[in-house]
Amino acid sequence: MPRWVWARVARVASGSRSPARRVSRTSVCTAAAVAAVCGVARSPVAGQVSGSLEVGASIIEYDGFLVSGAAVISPLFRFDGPTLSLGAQGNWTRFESGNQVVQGTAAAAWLLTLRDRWGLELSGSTGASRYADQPATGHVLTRARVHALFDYRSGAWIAGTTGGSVGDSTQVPIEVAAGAWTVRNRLSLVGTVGGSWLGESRHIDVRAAARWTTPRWELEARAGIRPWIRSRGRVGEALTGAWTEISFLVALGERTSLTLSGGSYPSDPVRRVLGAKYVTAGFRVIAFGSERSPTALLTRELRTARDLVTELDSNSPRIEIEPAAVEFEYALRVHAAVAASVEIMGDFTDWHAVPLEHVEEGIWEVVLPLTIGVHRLNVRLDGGAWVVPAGARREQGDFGNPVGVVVVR
Amino acid sequence: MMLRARFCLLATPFLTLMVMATRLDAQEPRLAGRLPGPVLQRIDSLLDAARRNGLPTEPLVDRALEGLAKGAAPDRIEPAVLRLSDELRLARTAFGDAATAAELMAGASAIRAGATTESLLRLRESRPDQPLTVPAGVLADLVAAGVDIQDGVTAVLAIVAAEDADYVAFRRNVERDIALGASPAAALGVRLRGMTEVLVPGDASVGVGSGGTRRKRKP
Repeated sequence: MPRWVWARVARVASGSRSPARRVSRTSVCTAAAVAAVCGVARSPVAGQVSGSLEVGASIIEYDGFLVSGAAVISPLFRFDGPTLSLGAQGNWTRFESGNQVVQGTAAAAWLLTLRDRWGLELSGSTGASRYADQPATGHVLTRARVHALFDYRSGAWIAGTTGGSVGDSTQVPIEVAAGAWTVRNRLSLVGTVGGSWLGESRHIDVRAAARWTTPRWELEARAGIRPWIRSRGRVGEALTGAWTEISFLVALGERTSLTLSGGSYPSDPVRRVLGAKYVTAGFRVIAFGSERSPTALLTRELRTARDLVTELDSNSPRIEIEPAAVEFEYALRVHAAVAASVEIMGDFTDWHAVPLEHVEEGIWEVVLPLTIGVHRLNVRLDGGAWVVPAGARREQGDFGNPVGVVVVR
Repeated sequence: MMLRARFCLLATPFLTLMVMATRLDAQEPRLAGRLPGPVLQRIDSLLDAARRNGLPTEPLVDRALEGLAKGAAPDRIEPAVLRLSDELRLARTAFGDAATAAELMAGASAIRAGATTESLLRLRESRPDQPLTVPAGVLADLVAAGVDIQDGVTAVLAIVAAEDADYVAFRRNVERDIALGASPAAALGVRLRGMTEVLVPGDASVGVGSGGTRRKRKP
């Protein structure tokens, strides 16, 4: 099978508009890199390097948050070799509130032809981001994908992804997916079914995308449903539902393009992306190379930005402390939407873990003697990481992890 | 002479035991056996020094226990205890010898958040006969929420006549406004005006009962 066919296989299977135009769920840059590998067939020069800068503005409403405006600046760099592609992307996002996100991602992809109608695509990506003064989060993922071609215009694939998803603690995600694609003249169609496992959070997605391409502009529509989930129901974790997105890219000149997109997308616990509705517009200048802007670039930036906000709120137990019936005793009440067990430790327990009792739906309680004054504590759900519950001041502790501070009066 | 020598002979082992017992007493039992000998010795020395200086030792022991619970290396625990000891000493300098352990801990927490000894001293002078635990704690909370330290001190001093409950409500409202997208300075100003307007005799309705309901905010 000629190389250009494999180029199209990976590009279409990734849902890429064109090299790097459509970002797969696996990774922003993995997709870019994979697509870049595929783009070799179109590129007259092997080893092509490209770089660009995109500036844009968005109005976005993340799940559980108010609508906010945001400004985004995003540099992108790519190297496309004959079989290997490398990509790196950074971005800076500033929200209306003044909070900022700094993020960076790098990825590599390698495409092998196994037999005439079979191909193997290996890719890896790593990313890190930091929101305001919150601890950084990140992921390191590897993906193997086996492609099968039906003919030169259609095919299917299966893929497995794993690695590490880093937040308060490091968890190992597992993703499996299968997809099929076809290309008819200027129209590309892709359908996928995938399952994702990350600790207690699990979900299944069914997705479809259609793209219409002309030399001057591109239009892409994406839709999906998440029919099944199992999670703790925290902010940032999967929710059942449906989503749709539309992206439009128009070339203004040889090195400039305008992008418009809007719609909604779901949360991704593995990459700590929070679902949102958005409208965004961007302007891209190509510094070197010749690739146009991926239409959904700004969306991606904001998704990444939301990784951090997700991290901020993902540990969302909330603590209340009230005097109990007995003098000098206090009821420590932790609100946790879905948890099998809740524990607390603090200076009032000599930093021994004390289990809380489940008193009603989403509420856990323990009554302990407390002295009036400042106390330090941490809470954990289901034996997970010790976190600072909402309702306590977050102080960077002496021992590497944040500690909650409360004043009992 | 003979009698004195016999007394000394009998007394020496007894006194030795007494000294040993005193030495064992000096060790914090909750830390004994959980830290390497030299580190434990140095922490015991810090505790002894704190006792001699009239500082509370319980927070220092708690800090070491926190480190142990979190699996910190012993060489990180000792500096943490030392740092807290220094913060308590600074708080005592500001709040005076009569300050309670709770006040000193709150002061130390405010210093950790960025407050200066001078700002705590002003707080003491403004509330000479009232507890400082809650105001100092609120000051630390405000600074942690992004309020400039000088603005925070000014605000805490501006409502120096407030009750502890008012301080807590004030802090809660400022934090909520910030969470909803207001700048720390704006949130502080608005809530401060609200506080000073309602801080009149007979009116104790300042923000009380605002509850802990989670609300949406901007990212």
